[in-house]
Amino acid sequence: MNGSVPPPSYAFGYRRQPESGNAINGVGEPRRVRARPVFHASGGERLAWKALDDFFSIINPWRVIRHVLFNTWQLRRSEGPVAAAQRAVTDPAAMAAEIKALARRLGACVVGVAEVTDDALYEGREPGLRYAVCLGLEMDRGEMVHAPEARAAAEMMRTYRELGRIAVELAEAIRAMGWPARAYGNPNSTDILLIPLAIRAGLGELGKHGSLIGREHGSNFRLAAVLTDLPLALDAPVDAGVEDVCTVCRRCVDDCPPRAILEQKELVRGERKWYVDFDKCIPYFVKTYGCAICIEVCPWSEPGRGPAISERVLAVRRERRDAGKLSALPRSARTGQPA
Amino acid sequence: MRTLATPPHARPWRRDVRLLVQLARMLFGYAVAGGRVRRRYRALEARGGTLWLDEEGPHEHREAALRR
Repeated sequence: MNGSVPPPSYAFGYRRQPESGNAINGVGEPRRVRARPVFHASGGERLAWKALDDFFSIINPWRVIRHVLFNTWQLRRSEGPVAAAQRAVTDPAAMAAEIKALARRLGACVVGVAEVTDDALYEGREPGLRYAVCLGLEMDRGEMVHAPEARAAAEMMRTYRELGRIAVELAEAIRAMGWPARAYGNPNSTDILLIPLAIRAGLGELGKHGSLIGREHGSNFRLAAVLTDLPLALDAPVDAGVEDVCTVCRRCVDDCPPRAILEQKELVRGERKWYVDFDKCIPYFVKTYGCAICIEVCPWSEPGRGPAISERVLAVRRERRDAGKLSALPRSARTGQPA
Repeated sequence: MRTLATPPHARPWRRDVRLLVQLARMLFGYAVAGGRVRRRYRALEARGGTLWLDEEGPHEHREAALRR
C-alpha cells in the first residue's frame, strides 16, 4: 500500500437499502446451513446486492475488464467431452501426485485436493463431482503493493485469467483420461466456495481479514479449482500458526479504511470464525476496484517472510506447550531436587 | 437443484459463436451504457452527489455471458 488511500465516502448508494449482506452470509446463524450468494455473480442471478455488483462491473477500468473478457472466453472450455476409454486408478495417492505435478507444470504455485462437501457449495447446488483440485497462483507483488489502485485490480484479474487457463487445461487433461472434470476459474462463481475447499486442501488457513493465508505466499495469491470424479488421495488442512498470529495481530484491522475487519470471531453458519463486515467492506471494495489493502498489508504477504513467521510462531507454541507440561510435573521432577 | 456436472455441449462451435456474440454485447454495453454511467458517476462524485444504483445504475453485468 503506497501513501494515502481514498476515504470511505461514496458517491453511489441505494435508496432502498437491500437486506444486510451480513444476514445473508449467515452471521449469528447457529445451524450449519449452506451459504447464499450475495454480491458477486455471473450475471444470471437476481441477488440482493446485484445493482452494486453491476455497477462494480461497469466502473472497472479497461485494463481490468480485458482480463475478464479473455477469462470468460477461455472458460467456455471449462467442461467438455470425456474420453471413452477410462484410465484405471489403483493408487489414488500416486494419481494425486501426478495431477499436482501437472498443475504445477501448467503454472500453479500451490495445489491440493479436498472432497467437495456442503460447506463449499452454495444453496441449491449439488456437486455431482466428488473431488476438488484446488489451485493457487501468486500475484505480482510489485503490482499489488499499489492496492487499492486500479493497477492492483488489473493484477488480480490477470492472475484469475492465468488461473482460468491452468484450470481449463487441467480439466481437459483429466477428461482425456476418461474422467469427468469441470474447471472453476471464475472467481464470481455462485456454485462453489473456493476458500473452504482450499483450507481443507491444505493451501492455507483463514485469516482475520477473511481471506486465505498460506505459509509461502501469505494472502498474495488467488484461487481456482477443478472438480472431478478422478479418484485422488485427499490432502489435510495445514497449521502454519496463522491462527496464533491473527489472534494478536491488528495490522489489517487498523489499515482497513471502512473499519470492516472485526477483531473477534463471529458465529457464521454454525461455525465461529474470522469474518469481515460485508456492509462496510463491499462499498469500499467497489469504489476502489477490488481494494485488497488487507491482503497486502498482511505480514505473511511480504515475499519470503511467511515461512519465517510460521517457524517462529510454531516454536513459541512448542515452548509454551513444553512449559505447560513442565509445570504440570511435580516440583521435584522440574527442579531435579528430591521431594 | 442444479448439479455441477452438466453434460458437455453437443456442438462446441455453436457454444463458441453464442459466447462470441455475448462477449461482443458485453463489450458494447461496457463502452456505451457503461460510459454513460461512468460519466454520470464521476460528475456526481465531483459535486458531492449520489448515484442511486437501484434507480439509475447499470442493469447489465459484465459476466452475463458466463451465467455461472
